Amino acid sequence: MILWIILACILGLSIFLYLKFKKKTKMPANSMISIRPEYTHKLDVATRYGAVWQESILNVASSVGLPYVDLYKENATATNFFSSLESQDPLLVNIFGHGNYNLIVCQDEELLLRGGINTNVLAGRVVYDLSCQAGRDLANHAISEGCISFLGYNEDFIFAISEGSHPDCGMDNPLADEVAKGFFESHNTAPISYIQGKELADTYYDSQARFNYWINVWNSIDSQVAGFLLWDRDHQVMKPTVTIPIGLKLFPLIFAFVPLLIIPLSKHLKKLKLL
Amino acid sequence: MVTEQEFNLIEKRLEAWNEKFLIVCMQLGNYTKDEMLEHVKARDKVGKKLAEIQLYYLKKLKERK
Repeated sequence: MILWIILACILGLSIFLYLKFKKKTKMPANSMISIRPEYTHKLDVATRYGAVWQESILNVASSVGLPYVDLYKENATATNFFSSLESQDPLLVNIFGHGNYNLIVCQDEELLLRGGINTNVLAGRVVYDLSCQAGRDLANHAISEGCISFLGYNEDFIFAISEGSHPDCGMDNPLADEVAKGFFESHNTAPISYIQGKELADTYYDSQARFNYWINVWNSIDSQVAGFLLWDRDHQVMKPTVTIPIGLKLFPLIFAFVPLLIIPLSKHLKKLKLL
Repeated sequence: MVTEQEFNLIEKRLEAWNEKFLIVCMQLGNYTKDEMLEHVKARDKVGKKLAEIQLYYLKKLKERK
């Protein structure tokens, strides 16, 4: 009888621990901060395209009633970013900007984040970042400092565009550029899925699936464009890995087999007592 | 490390690049077909990056077959 009570307690404890450590990844009723620089001090097709394509994320946030702060162009400064983080305390941080392995810059190349220096502001937040390389060292720093999740790119993010009449050689309206569409749409799928209530891991898989869709499309049109999409897909990372660790997955299962271990053991103990 | 033979292969591939498409590397800048070819022929930093990406695609394609 006592043995069964102990087993029930162990089973209850294992279920409790499983539920406790299983991360709650649903989107709570919170807010988002979005930063999207578009350079004004020089022609830069990357920030002009990237900033405009970020609008689709904001449109989805509006459609589901998620409050957000949009730091765009001259408002995309580090001062505005940090003051908004403090005043809004958003769960979701959506970043677009140039970067390298350990930093991200904002409007007109002003330093925004440097891994290990100020990435602690991302603690307790979910981050989607479209920058070159920052998914490597900067993301590692952010995660070690308590960031819930960081989706980014651990190498250069490269995209193709159609030649247009804009002085920076791109099209006047980046949203009309069918060549660039696959790159930005694939990335944007991740934060959009999250805003729509998907689990963190699923937002990554949704984005990967969108990359795959566009890779297939471009394989039949121009395989060289497909090559760049494939590069971006394979260098997209989500940190930490959000699937439940195998040990934790097996935790309740292990305890389900505990009686099989304890019953023969208890018989053995009884024999020992008799002796 | 990109070999000379691989660089030559990438040059051939880039010669078939659609002239109306540009490549934008958020870290390095944007490039037309002619500019990409120039960098690959010069074997410089940009050329190596472009070669690396194209070779990565070809490697993946080979693995799939």
